[in-house]
Amino acid sequence: MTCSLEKARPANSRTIRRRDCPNPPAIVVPPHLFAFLIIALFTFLAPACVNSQPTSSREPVEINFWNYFGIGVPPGKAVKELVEEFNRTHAHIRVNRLDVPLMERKFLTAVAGGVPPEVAIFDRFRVASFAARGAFEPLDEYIERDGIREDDFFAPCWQESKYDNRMYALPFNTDVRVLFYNNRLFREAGLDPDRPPRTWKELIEYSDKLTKRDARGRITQVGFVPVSASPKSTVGNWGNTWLYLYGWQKGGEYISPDGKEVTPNHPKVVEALQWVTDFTTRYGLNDLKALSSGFGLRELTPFLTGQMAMTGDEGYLMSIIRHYNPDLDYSVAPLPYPEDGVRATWSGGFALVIPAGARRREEAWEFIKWIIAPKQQAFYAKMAEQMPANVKATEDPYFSQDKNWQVFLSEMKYSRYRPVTPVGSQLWDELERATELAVEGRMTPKAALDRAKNVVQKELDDFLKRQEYPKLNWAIVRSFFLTVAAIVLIAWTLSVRRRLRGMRLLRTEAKSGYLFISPWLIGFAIFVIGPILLAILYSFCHYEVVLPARWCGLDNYRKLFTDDIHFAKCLYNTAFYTAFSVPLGMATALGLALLLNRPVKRIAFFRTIFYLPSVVPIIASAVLWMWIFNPNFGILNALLKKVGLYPLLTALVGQKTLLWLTSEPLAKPALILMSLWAIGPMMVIYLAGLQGIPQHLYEAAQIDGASAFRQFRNVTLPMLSPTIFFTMVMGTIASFQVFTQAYIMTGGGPVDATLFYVLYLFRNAFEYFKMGYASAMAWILFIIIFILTMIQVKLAPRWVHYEAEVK
Amino acid sequence: MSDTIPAPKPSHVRRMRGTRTKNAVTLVIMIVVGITFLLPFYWMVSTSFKVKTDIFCVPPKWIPSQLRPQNYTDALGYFPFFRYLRNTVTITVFSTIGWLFSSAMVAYGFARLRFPGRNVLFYVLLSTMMLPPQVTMVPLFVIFRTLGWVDTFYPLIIPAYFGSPFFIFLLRQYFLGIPQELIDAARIDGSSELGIFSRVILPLSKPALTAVGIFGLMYGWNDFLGPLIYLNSEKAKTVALGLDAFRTFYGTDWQGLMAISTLMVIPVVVIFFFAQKYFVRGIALTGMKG
Repeated sequence: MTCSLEKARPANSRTIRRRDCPNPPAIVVPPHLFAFLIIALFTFLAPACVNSQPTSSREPVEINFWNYFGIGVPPGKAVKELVEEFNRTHAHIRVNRLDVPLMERKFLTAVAGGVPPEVAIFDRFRVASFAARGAFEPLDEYIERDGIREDDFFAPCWQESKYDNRMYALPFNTDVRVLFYNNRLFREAGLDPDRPPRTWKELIEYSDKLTKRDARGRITQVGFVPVSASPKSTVGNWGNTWLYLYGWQKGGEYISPDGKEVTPNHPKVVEALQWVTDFTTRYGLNDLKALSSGFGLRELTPFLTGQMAMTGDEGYLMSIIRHYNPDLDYSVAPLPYPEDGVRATWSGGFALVIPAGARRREEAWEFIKWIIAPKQQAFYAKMAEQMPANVKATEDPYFSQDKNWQVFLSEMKYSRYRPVTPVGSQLWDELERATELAVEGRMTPKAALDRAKNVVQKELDDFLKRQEYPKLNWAIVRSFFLTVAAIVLIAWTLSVRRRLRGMRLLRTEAKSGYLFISPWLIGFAIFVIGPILLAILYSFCHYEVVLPARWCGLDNYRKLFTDDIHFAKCLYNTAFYTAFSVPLGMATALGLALLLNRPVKRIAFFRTIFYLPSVVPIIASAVLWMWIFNPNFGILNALLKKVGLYPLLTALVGQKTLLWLTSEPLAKPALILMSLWAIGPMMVIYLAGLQGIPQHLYEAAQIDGASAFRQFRNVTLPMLSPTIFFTMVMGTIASFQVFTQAYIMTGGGPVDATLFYVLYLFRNAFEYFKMGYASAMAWILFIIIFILTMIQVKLAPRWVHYEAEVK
Repeated sequence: MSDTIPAPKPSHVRRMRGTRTKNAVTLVIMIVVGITFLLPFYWMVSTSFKVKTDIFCVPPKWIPSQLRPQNYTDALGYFPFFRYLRNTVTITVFSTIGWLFSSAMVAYGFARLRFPGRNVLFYVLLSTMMLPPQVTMVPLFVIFRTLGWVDTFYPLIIPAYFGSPFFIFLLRQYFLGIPQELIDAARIDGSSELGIFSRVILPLSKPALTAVGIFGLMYGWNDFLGPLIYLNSEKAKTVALGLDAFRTFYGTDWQGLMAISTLMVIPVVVIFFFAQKYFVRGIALTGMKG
């Protein structure tokens, strides 16, 4: 990749200059000023840009390594140190590490654009879906050549890296689920910490003894809850076991041996989900939710605060405990399993891959080989406080002399791994969804899992028969678009000519008009229209980003309208959100702007404060919101109780405790409430608009004796109407594309209550490899927004007042 | 900011009294709302000084039990913050300049000049905002890659010089509110369109241009997706990217995240504080009283 950049660099500055010459600002803006800007831009930017690849043969070969683990946490620090060590010891290779946590978008675009990194750390469970689409290089030749032995690695790690009998990755680290339990709480309940539960039956008995309620019936401490958490589920962060565990323990399977049929509704899995549901409803789901924070963060598991006595989790929880509550007295033991079932647990972890199209594969392989060797693996494991994938690395005293780690290591014998399939992500998401539907009592376990089977099986079938569709013929596409472009241009020129014939004054005005809008027109032609046309084209294709697009006609649209059970739901959620957040946001922003437009001392100070929530990064404020919405300790519920609205609301939604963010009826209102804090930009727009109202209008109104309210109605509102119109149109457009809050805070849950349109679109595009489908979704959204905007535009003349005439 | 408010006329003594109580009420409301709006900021800053065991205790700790300024030195040790900052500043400043120039021009064209197809083109401009960017991301990347711009700042800066639909629409609405008489007067004086634009429209639009400037700065400052997709080398990374690296699969370094967030937010707050003084009555000050 660097090599292509090196070649591109001298050429690309020429390209830019050439493009900038006809750039209209150079004509309209005083030329010297613009020239100065451009020169300043390029001279200033040049050194900061690319790191060029040195050409001399003595210099090390550079390879790019994308690291999923980020920084600041032990695994990230360990990877950083390892890369530094590699660079110290390998003079001929230089590894450039780039921290890219959650890299789906970046990775897919880079592979599609032909500039992937040489090595990446990848979620092992997603390796198969990428490998199935040809996104990774197979590693078998290297493995054979350099004698990497399968026996050196834990079996689940090795098997999970394999797709269609070829190795596409080498395992890097791993984990395994065990039972964590709180010794102090065991003793308090009269249980022996040396005798943890071994069967499901005992687990329930123990759990009952460890569950406490206060005088008002609220749960203050719970024994065990067999439901897990992720950003995608807000049922509660009770552990890291998932339905996968219980299904396997019952003897269920999730995929047929030939990989052609997914079986989430395997009878044993159904039994397992029934057990999970019974267990959860035993304590009352809403009562449990009041105890949890409803935010899929592992740092927030109630086990950490001693509100939960037992949890199923993997070894990294020990690191979290050590950092956040080092005084917690706990032990670990194998997970209990059903009397009629099998002893099973499961492992995940990460792996190293060489993306397809990577240029310096030999060097990449050398790095991989080095980092998975026992010495480096042991170093990583100790520093990251995690299990290595290499068995030999676990002979280190750090593991062999630690009684907790010994439990984890011996459990590896019983460990399973998630199905290796091109539709792994969908299977995961649908299993999670089915679990939520069942424990929320919305569907029977059987129905929920049948539904999951249906959805995922269709995806798998589509993938398996994708080759039946013809590849796109780009020659036809190109000539079609060129013809259309030519027709549009010719028709436009002709109609402009005709309309301006003989009208000299108008012609001069039209000329300057086109000149003024030319920056946008040119930018539109270069950067905007092409991608838009391609998005139209892809909406008629199976386009998996890393594979060439295949024409499928109206398939995507047909599926959206007839087959997709989430489509209507996400559309409804988005419409609901828009219907409330836009008007409420506009009213709040206008109110604040009017307030801030008043002659009060220190107004600058107040304006800044009101703008503050909009500049605080959402991830920084997310945890605060969780506390505000927390059912038991939250400010919001306390406030509602004070003003007396609480009983009304609880009666209205039928909950004993208001479960903001974690219950279906209140999740969307919670996000809408949140959005009202971040109306700073809209407030600024109103504030700017208010300044544009000529003061003499108010003076005239005052002389006429108009009251403050009448001044507002007859002067402020009409004069501000262009601005109000703007915020309404833009608010609708933006709110239909709401994404970040749900992506970061609720992940679409609970039970899809915050699965917004673009969130679902995002998952299709970047998690399920269905860019064509996502494009079809995008165009449907486009049409909806377009119609709504046109309605607003057509109604505007009735209430929007312009000083200039607008035709 | 009292200088922006026309002094009350002596003949309206009674109204002045009313104004005073009204102002007191306003002040109280502003303080109450202000405290609510301060919460996220307060939370961020206070967490950035907390010890790890204080972050997630139940019930939440609003006041840290002890202050830990080392969070800042720790966080600054993870990546070259000041180099990232320089990159962020470069991208932000140059793209904001681009947005201001080009968007104002285009907006004037759409607001005040007549040409065939103006409405159609304006609808096209609005439409470009209605398609979720997720589906145009890959083709756009391919364009920039063909230009050889991957891992440079160009994809993040150059498009700004072609205007942004949001800013164009915003400024168009504002320009439409400027009284026609002013423009006609300038036209009679023989001003060219460029003259009208730069000598009449722009000076009258300081509040709107300030808003665009603030939004441009904010966007460049916080933009995460653009740098994520287009920048590959450590040298070119921005603060927003560094901030995101704290959120990992294996948990989040909350202290570091909050410390870097605080450092990142402060310049924006300071700029806003000074920029907001341009929210003054542009038109009232130009003698448009009759």
